[in-house]
Amino acid sequence: MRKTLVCLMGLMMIVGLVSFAQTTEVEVWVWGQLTVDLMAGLESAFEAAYPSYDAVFVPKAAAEYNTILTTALQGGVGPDVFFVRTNPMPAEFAAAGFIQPVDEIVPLVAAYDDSQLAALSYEGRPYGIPYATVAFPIYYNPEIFAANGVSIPQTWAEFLAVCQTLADNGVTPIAMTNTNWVMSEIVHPIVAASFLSDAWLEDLVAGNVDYTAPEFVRTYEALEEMRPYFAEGWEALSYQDMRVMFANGEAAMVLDGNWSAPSFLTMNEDAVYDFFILPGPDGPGRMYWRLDAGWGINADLDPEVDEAAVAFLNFLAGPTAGEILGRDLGLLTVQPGTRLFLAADITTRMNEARDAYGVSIQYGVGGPFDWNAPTVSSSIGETTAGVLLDAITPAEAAAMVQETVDQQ
Amino acid sequence: MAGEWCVASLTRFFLGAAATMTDRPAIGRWADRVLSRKMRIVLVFLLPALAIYTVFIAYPYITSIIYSFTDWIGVGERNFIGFDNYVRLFTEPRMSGRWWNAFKHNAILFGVSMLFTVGLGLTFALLLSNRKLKGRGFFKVAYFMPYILPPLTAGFVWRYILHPRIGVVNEIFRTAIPWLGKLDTAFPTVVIVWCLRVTGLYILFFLASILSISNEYRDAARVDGCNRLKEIWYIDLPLLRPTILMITLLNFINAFGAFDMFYALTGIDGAPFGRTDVLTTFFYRTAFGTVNQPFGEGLGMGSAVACSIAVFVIAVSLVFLRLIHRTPVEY
Amino acid sequence: MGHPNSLRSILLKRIGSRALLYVILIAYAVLTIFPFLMSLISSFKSFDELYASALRLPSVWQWENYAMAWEAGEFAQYFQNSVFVTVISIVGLLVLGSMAAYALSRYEFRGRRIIQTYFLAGLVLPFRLAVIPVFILLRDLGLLDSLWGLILIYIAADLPFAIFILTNYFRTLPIEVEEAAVMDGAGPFRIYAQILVPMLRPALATVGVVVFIWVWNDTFVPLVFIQSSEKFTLMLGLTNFFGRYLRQWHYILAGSMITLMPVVICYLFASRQFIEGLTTGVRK
Repeated sequence: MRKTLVCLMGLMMIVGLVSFAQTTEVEVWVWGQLTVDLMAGLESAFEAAYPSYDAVFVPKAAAEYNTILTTALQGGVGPDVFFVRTNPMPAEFAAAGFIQPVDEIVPLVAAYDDSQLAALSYEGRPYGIPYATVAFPIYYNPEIFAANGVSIPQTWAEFLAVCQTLADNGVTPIAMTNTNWVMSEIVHPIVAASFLSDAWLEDLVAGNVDYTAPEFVRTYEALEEMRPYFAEGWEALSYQDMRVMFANGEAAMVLDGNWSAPSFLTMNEDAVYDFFILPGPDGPGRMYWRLDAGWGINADLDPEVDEAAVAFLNFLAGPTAGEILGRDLGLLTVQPGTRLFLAADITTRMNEARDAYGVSIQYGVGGPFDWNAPTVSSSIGETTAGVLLDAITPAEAAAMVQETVDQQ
Repeated sequence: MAGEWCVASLTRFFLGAAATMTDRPAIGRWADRVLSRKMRIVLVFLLPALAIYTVFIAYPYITSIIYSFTDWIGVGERNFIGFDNYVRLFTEPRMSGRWWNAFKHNAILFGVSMLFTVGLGLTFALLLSNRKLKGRGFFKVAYFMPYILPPLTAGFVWRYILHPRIGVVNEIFRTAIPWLGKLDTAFPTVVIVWCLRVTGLYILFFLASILSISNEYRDAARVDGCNRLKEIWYIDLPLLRPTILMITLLNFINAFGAFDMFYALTGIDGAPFGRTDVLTTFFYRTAFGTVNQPFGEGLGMGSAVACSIAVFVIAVSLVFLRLIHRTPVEY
Repeated sequence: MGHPNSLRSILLKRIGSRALLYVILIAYAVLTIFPFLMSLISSFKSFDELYASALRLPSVWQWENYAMAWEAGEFAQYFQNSVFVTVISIVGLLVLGSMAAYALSRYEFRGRRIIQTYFLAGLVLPFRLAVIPVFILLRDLGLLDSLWGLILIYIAADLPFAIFILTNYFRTLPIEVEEAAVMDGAGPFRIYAQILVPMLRPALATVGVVVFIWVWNDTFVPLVFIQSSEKFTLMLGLTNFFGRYLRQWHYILAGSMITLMPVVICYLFASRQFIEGLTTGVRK
């Protein structure tokens, strides 16, 4: 009896001591289970660098991430560190006092370009560490291409011809899904990059032209031309269905983001894939890229006490994290000092492609018209789906997008 | 301060009431003087339910109405803007277009479910009311089963059944139609799945009503030489009128509150291209946003949408109830 | 009306219409049970078999699908949470509801009608529309992300139904028993606890069973009010699970079956209560 009592008291003392110790665990929210699985490398690197700290990654469903995060923060039960999308999210969170500025906590922030921090800033101060940039190529299966005697197309007409040849041979040319955010973030920008010139985009942002211009309508028309080559039944396939289709070799091409490159291997160990940039009407095309998200830190945390969270944030801003994210998630990371030397060959080549052929004047997601509700990206997603489903014409689609912007 | 006073008074009140009920000398003279003993008993029994209901249901409904007059987005400040949200909701083509699109879907859902439940449901109930029918119990259990399954699970299961590649439906018909994805098939498919789920309940309602029709009427009719069909026409149907009317009202309320199945089958966007959008999914999107629109249109506007739905449902329900009460049933 | 003119045609007509009747009834039964049975069988298939054919029976019954869903999906914890929330909600609801119904049925007082209508109004309005203020309320009370918050919401939302059913039932109870008890000097609490509650048992069972389905099957409330995964209810866990294993239908179906099973089993054992419960309002 006395022994038990002593043990109990000892236990209580230990528990008491532990709770008095400073917080050594940091809770991190990310979107998507797949992302979490791929974060294992980052987690172990962090814990190797800081043995006394522990990072706990919690995935939240991507489609509901915004809502779940917002409600959690409002309720005071939010995580320590979490993904924030680009503005308007950080601005709103900052204004509401949910996140705190990172310039003082993370000295490395000073080494970033202002342009990189702009989409995460509020009133001149950065509220997030850039997570990574994303780029949008077209993935293709080199083996299928070789087997059907087609090569990478150099013009839009050639691209359609390639699709036709594949279709004639009984191969599904393009895997596709019917998901609004995919339409908005991937499908439309892939086409838009090659069909909209920098000059036009600058005009759009400046307000000299609007979305009803024929150039923009043309992007929808191009999508219509692609439609016959989509996988059968694509209207009811999910994002994951689409990717697995490609990974399994059931489709020759897929429109997806650079983050999917490592994921294909987890879906099918023998997946073969490479990428090319969708050609434009007259010749080589371009590839859209943008800052995807940042890491924010909960305003409730005290930098003195919550050392683990601060350390994690600093780790995320450094080149080690950049290398690991590039290697494990195929991201084009922008941490100063990152050279992506650990990344897979495809990631480095995508990085080079981005440097050579990238376009980053945002017209939709992440662009200036996305900073207020109703966001233009939601409209672009909807209208793209509408055109591909044959519910509206390209002209109507463009008009709808403009209407959305007019409501802001 | 005020809070403590409230708590103190309530405590005294309850102590006094409790004392009364156990027939011990009252501790709280204050309570004695204010309310009769009967009232105290009533309140003690009524108050917990009343309190929880008021705090978690009544009060939020009222507050929801108040929020609908603000421009709150969920974080940050909250400014009073009068009827702006409602005006925007019904005049801005984007918003009102979507509202009416969703409304149209709810209305069609109501219409079709009426056909199913009253048409099919009544028929099956009449068939099942035949006591000589073998396997009545089995049929009752089978028809009702879809209703007890969780709508979310049922939604996933149906998604599997309707899958373009591995679904049973496509396998049976040797097609590869994306039922839930194609523009023209999505809404009808969801409606049918919904009706299948809900009809079972109404079959049972009708059955219960039919069986409760007093046998006197039937015996009298039998004496007059009626066969079953005439019996149905002259006895069951007229006596079922109140039930049919009640079911119409229930159908209406359910049809305009449909959410779970639609969410499970086609997601929150009312895909494809808004063809399966209903008022509740529209509300959810407006209030809580989506991937590409993190804060939706704001909680103020969201509340306005919610209130508009509620007002409509309540108004029609009241009118309907009025109509029912005015038409007596004659035997 | 045609006149049957031979024994043969009479018999044919009889058997014919009878058979037709059964065919129709069975056809509809198939339509309603088939999805459930189909997914039950499919949940035992391996991934490849699922993709090969939807209709064939599995060659090997893959119980490991269920093991996978249970462990990887952390369904054990979610199951516990669902049971906790459901049971406590039902108990709380029955206690509060019967107390309120007692006061409303057996005592005459000013404002009784108003309070009854007040409660009835809750039957008409869907909870979803008041979710935003409830969210703010729970947050201010510190009950966000808490199973107790869910319980309070469920009790509040189902009180109208419970009170409706119970007050109706009270009307059918003879008042003599209570009058006798009063004569014997019993206080109202004794009457309630020792006499009325036992008499109310059928109605309480009815309400309990109906509310059980509603609470167990509900996804919306936990979706909005629970953030931490260890507090997920089973339905919420299934949504999460679905998102994670998006294309792995064998796991998803197994997980779905796990969430269904309690309700289905209760239903099959207590189908009479279920049916009675939901049709009570109809039989006056």
